[in-house]
Amino acid sequence: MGNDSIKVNKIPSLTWNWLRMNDASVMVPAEISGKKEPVIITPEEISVMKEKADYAAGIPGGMGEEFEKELFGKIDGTVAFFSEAGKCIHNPIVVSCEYEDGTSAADRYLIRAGSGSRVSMLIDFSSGKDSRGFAMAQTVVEAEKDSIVKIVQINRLGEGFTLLSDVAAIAHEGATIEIVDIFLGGKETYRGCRIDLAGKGSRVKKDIGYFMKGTQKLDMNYVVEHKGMKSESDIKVSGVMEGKSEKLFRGTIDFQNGCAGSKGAEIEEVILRDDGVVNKTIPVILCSEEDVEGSHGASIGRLDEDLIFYMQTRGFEEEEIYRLISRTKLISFCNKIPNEDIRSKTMTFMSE
Amino acid sequence: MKEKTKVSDIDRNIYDIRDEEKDAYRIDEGLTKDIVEKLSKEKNDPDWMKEFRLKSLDIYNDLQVPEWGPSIEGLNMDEIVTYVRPNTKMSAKWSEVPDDIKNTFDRLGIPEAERTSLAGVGAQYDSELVYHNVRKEVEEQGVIYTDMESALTGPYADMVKEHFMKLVPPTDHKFAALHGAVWSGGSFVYVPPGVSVEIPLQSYFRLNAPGAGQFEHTLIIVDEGADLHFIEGCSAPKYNVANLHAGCVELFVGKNAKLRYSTIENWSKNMYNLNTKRARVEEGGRIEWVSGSFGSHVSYLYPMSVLNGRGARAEFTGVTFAGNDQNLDTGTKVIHNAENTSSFVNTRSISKDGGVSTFRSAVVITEKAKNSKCAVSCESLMVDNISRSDTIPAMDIRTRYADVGHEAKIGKISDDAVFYLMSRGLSEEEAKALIVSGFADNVSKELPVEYAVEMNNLIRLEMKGSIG
Repeated sequence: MGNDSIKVNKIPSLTWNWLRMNDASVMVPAEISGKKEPVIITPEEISVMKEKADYAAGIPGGMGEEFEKELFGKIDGTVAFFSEAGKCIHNPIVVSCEYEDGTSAADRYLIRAGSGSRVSMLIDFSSGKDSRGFAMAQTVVEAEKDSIVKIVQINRLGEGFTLLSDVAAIAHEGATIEIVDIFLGGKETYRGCRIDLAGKGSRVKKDIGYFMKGTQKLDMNYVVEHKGMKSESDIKVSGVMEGKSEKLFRGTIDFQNGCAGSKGAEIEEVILRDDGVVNKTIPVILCSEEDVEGSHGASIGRLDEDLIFYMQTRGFEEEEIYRLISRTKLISFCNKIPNEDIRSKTMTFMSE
Repeated sequence: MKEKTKVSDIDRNIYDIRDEEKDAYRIDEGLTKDIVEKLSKEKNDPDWMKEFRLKSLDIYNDLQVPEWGPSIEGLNMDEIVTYVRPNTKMSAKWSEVPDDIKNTFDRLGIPEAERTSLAGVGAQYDSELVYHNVRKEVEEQGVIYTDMESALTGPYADMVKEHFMKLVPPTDHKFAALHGAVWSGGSFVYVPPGVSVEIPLQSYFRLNAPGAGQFEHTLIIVDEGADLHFIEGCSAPKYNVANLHAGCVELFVGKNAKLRYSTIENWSKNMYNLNTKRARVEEGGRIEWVSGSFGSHVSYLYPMSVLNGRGARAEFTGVTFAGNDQNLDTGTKVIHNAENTSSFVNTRSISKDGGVSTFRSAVVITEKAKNSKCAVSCESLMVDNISRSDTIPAMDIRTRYADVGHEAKIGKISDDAVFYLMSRGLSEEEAKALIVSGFADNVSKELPVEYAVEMNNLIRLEMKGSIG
């Protein structure tokens, strides 16, 4: 059987086709093979169940239907984590997906955070530096009333890996979902993420950091749907691009009718260090509610001239300033990793 | 509230008055090879233009309707009349224009504006220009301002052939192809090197025939070091059938030249406005777009600037007001294709009474465009919660030596501001209208005063009945 081409990351509001930003096409192997099961460390307060492949499929992700159809056909179940109401769980669920060369893998996880509980999950994708392969994964989040869920994902895959990873989440009244994405490795990375702020006072906070070099490609589609009153979203994207790398950031804040009093903000800062990079950004605000505050901002290209001047007066060369600031930005993301060992490995990966 | 301006209130009736249909020739409804050939024959096209039209028709038939914008399902090309010739010839004297047509332009204030503040006027009625005149002193500077048909066969025929639909090729999109097939009317302007036209030229497009399309072509060439301000206005009475506007504007801005292109668009709300505007700017040149979009049922309008020469600059200042039964998809595109180019985009959009307003933009900085800068600012105002306002800005940056800033905001009219104005004696409706006018002052302050007043009156008109 050959590979299938699927469309992923379709932006909720299409624009001109010539920009090639509306969606992405990606080849998916017909079957998974050579997979080593992820190592999962689960805090004892969390119960784990194996559910069916399309469990809670009614919560849509950012990747889209074609991705989900492929995924459901490739997995034999969803690993589901449940936290009891009111439990504050300090240690994260850690999922280490360490792949061999030639692996093609597919996994699906679900977190259901009971009312008032607090839970976090760290998913670390890694492999040998030169290894090749394919991985697809989805994380479904159901944050019940007043719960807090934090998902941290790291891509430290080898130079020949393609990763498709997706988040499908719903936040009920007063719930908070926090997403931290760190993209460093892989040949091609596709990231989808759709958060449904269904409940009154629900919130989402996203911190997305990337360092693209060589011919790496990163394609993102983050969508926040404000449905509940007084819901809030805050999306921060920060990245550095080198070589001939390509990046496309799609960020959509969708204020739907009835979400009165909601606020949404997204901001992206990109440092471009070489000619020949392809940096695409489309930060979208959709609004069908009067009483909202929405904003987005982007700063792309060079560092602030005042900052460069200040650093030069302290004896730094311009190239050195760019290297220093880029590294500082990424270190600030690494500090959000809630596991010392993986944080250390990520810092090392970044330095190589 | 008493007006503090001497300009009388705008009356919607002046736009909606329909003249009796007394056209001299009307082509059959629809779009076929036979119709395009007939139109070409009616217009005595040179051979190359006839071939161009037929080739454009083939392209039109091959291209799909855009799937990314507002729905144009209500537009049936089989019911659109693509050419309606008024029962008069073009004249350089208003006294020679038939009374009913002249009265329409009188009500729109065109002859008066010509006398007081314009260097030349072209007035198009349905598919053809009925009046075209340019001041003698401007003519003496060597400025050519004429209708496209005369330009196509006159002394500037070669220049027209060299530039016609080169910037907007029929392959660009379906309605550019449609324009290439059935265009008629429009203006040709050539400003010689170093000539500065001190006061603006204006073309006004009036569509009277129900179920008709208007496809005027505007071609402006501003040569090296020259300077021009061109104003475009348009309106139509409202009918119960769909009308179509698929004009095309091509602007060539030479080295160190400057062109300001201002538009107040006030088509009737049965109009599908699928217009294409594009400028190419050479070294050190500058294009300034000032755009007010108030009318139409559906609009697709994104003036594009191609900054092709070192140091070329573009500014886009726009306001869009979408009211009941309107879906206005507007914005701009900028391509930075040379070093040290810069662009500045500043837009406002207002949605009210169920209207849908979309700001859509594209900024592309190619690898060649080192040390280029771009700043985009767009703000949207929601006047009620039955309307919709979307912001879809795209950026594609391919050099490290670029500096791009983008900011967008969306929100509602501040309750505090309304309260403050009401405490000073204004009604709630007046207070909101005043705030919206202020919100749109990025455009009004860039327009000549007469047009700014008209724009503010249009806003006030649209805001009527906004309470309750």
